[in-house]
Amino acid sequence: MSKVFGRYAAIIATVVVFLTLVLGVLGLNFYTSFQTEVTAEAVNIAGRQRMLSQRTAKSLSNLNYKFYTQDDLSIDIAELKAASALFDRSLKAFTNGGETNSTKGGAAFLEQVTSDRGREILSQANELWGPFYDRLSTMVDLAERSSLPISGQRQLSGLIADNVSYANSNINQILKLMNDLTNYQEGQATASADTSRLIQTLGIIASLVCFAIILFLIFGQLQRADRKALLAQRETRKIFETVDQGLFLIDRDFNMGSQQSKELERIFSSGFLAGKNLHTFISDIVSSTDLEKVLRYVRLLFDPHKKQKLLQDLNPLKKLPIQVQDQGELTSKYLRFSFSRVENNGKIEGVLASVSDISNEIRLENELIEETKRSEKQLEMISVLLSADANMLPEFIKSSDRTYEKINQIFRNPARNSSEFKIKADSVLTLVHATKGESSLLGLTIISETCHEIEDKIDQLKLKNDIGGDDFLSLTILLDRLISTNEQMKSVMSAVAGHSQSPQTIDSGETQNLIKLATDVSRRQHKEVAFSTGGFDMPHLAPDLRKNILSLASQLVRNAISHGIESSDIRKTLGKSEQGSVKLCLLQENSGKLILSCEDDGAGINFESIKLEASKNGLIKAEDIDRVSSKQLLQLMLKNRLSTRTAADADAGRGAGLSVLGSISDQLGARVSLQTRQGVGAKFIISIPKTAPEMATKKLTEASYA
Amino acid sequence: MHRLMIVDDSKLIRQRIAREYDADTFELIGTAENGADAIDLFEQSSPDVVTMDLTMPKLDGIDCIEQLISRDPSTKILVISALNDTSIGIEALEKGAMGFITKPFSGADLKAALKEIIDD
Repeated sequence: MSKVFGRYAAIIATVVVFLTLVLGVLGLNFYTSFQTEVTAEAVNIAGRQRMLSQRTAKSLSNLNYKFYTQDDLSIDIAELKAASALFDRSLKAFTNGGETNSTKGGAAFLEQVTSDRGREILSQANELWGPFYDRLSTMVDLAERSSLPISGQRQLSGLIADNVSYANSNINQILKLMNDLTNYQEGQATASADTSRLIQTLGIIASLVCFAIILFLIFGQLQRADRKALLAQRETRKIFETVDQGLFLIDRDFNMGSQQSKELERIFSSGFLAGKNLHTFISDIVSSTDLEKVLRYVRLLFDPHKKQKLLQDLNPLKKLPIQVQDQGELTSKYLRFSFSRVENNGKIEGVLASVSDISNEIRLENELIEETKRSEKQLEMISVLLSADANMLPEFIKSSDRTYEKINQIFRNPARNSSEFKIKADSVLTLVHATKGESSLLGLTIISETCHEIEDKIDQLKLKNDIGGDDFLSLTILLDRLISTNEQMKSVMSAVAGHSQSPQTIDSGETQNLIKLATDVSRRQHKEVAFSTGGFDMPHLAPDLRKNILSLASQLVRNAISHGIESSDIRKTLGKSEQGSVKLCLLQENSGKLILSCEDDGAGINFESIKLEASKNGLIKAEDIDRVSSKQLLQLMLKNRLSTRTAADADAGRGAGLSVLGSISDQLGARVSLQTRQGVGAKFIISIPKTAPEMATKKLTEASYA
Repeated sequence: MHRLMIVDDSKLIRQRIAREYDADTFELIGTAENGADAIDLFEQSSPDVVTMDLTMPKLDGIDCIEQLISRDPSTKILVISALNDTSIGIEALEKGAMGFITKPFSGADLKAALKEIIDD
């Protein structure tokens, strides 16, 4: 308030002066008009004095005449008396100030004449009139008596003669003096009128000057205010053009304000958003459920009882993925909206929304997570290396090195057409899948996950129509990663070789690895599984054979958990115990034959969907579909990739699992049989002859996947 | 002294809150393990501050907030929930809750949140 007063102080002061002047001129006008009336009356009375002096002289002359003709004197006496008395009264009023009869009837007050000239006229007039009036009064008194004796008659005659003679010699002088008085009064009136006119003129000029000053000040003020506003506007615009956040205001009706930062347009690659309703704006970038959530949230921001700090925690748009058209290309971005109240005197007037593009932050965050994961896996790998069965690791590295070399060969001779590619892709898939199985058996997650990534990429490539050399690039990068992992393992192993125990002791390493595999797979699949295993401590088995048996075992376990065991929710609704059971067992018959069995209490094998899948892939003809036996189907599954799972993950879903099982069994001359009941479970039994073909591993990698 | 009621279906959490609140400012008038019990206790003891879990048997937290506020709109309710979902937070505030913290929480978190809602 005082600030406002300060800014307008000059204007206010000038207005006060202006009003004072206007009031002064008005007051003066009023006073002057009153004064003019008084002066005009004085002029009139002075004029009347001239007339009265003449009337006095005339009635005296009539009286003189009638006295000698002995006529009635009363009328002239009354006339003389009235005229002289009024003349005397008025002259006294001029001389001393006082009342006399007004020319308009009633009384009039006359100011005492004070100027030298006026007093001179009046004193001369009084000198002549004073004795005359006394004699006239004596004469009138005598004349009024009803009966005069002769002596009285004589005395009256003398008095009349005396007065007439006085009048004859002086009345003209009196008349002249009264004339002077009248002129003098008129002069006074003119002078005072001139003065007041001058004062009025000056007052009006001063008021006009004041008024001009007021206008000047107001215009100046307006101009300054305009300049300031313009400057502020320019600054705001500059800020809005350069700020690296999308800024806009939202009012209570959810309308977006007219001022918005340039960045907002850049972020949304769209033109003018001003004046749009928040509802329309947000509905373009979020789902309808989120839209409702955002609007409810903004509504809460306008509720003064809700704490802003708390509301910040509940902001539903902290990280919003969006798709925008950028120069014709659809790109995805992550945005962060933040909202803060705009308050004025404690009242919430609006909400300021700021939008920032946090895509880079999110990308870095994700990269960091990836990096952390990778280093965790590397650490895990080292711990695996340190604890793993020292016999198996070199085996694994050796065979996987050979596998990678094979894959490399395939990449080096890319396919010329898509059918060729599909054949090559399948070979790579089988090779990679085997490595995945072996590595996950050993707990080498870093390898099994990379294998899984390769499988994913190949699956995606297979869907494409034309495949070029570039498409292999991402695969070779992943393969390089696998190869360098092997190199790392080798160097770690040689570094720790000095510290390691004798590798020949056979302990329950295999059993432990299998338990770990089962635990890992069930965790990844979010299933609860009781896993039991036994019979794997068979120190006398040849390393190659043992490795193959373990490959079979790991495929069986993964199949059982991923395909067989249902999620605990489903099991509950089926009336089964929430925890599924998988039993893996290896035993040697007296004949030396090895029996590997894996039994689960899961969903069993749905031969109907296998049939459908097989006929879809052209493995069985539509007309044979009803005739094909479950044994034949099992053989199909062991020889081909068949999967009824809709999505592949690190554990299963591509159908390669059973085909790996099939090819290893072939190499070992083993027989696979299956007992299953839908909804109850499945049991795979693999009988392996004791004298499995020699160099099984070598043949496995070279022959069966070629 | 504010009269505090603790509503949570987990005994551990109830004990935890009872151990952590600021005894100079609050007086514990009782605890309830579901929404329905909370309403009964509220009617008997009329607390002015309530800590409220959201997922509970019988009557869930959101409905419970609504009922408590309809009985006394000045009740200050602090939601303590494991649901880290903004929609549920927004809904709780809409129904009249004053504060929101998520489990797990620290003693300092709880004290600060309780102080915040009574300072309002």
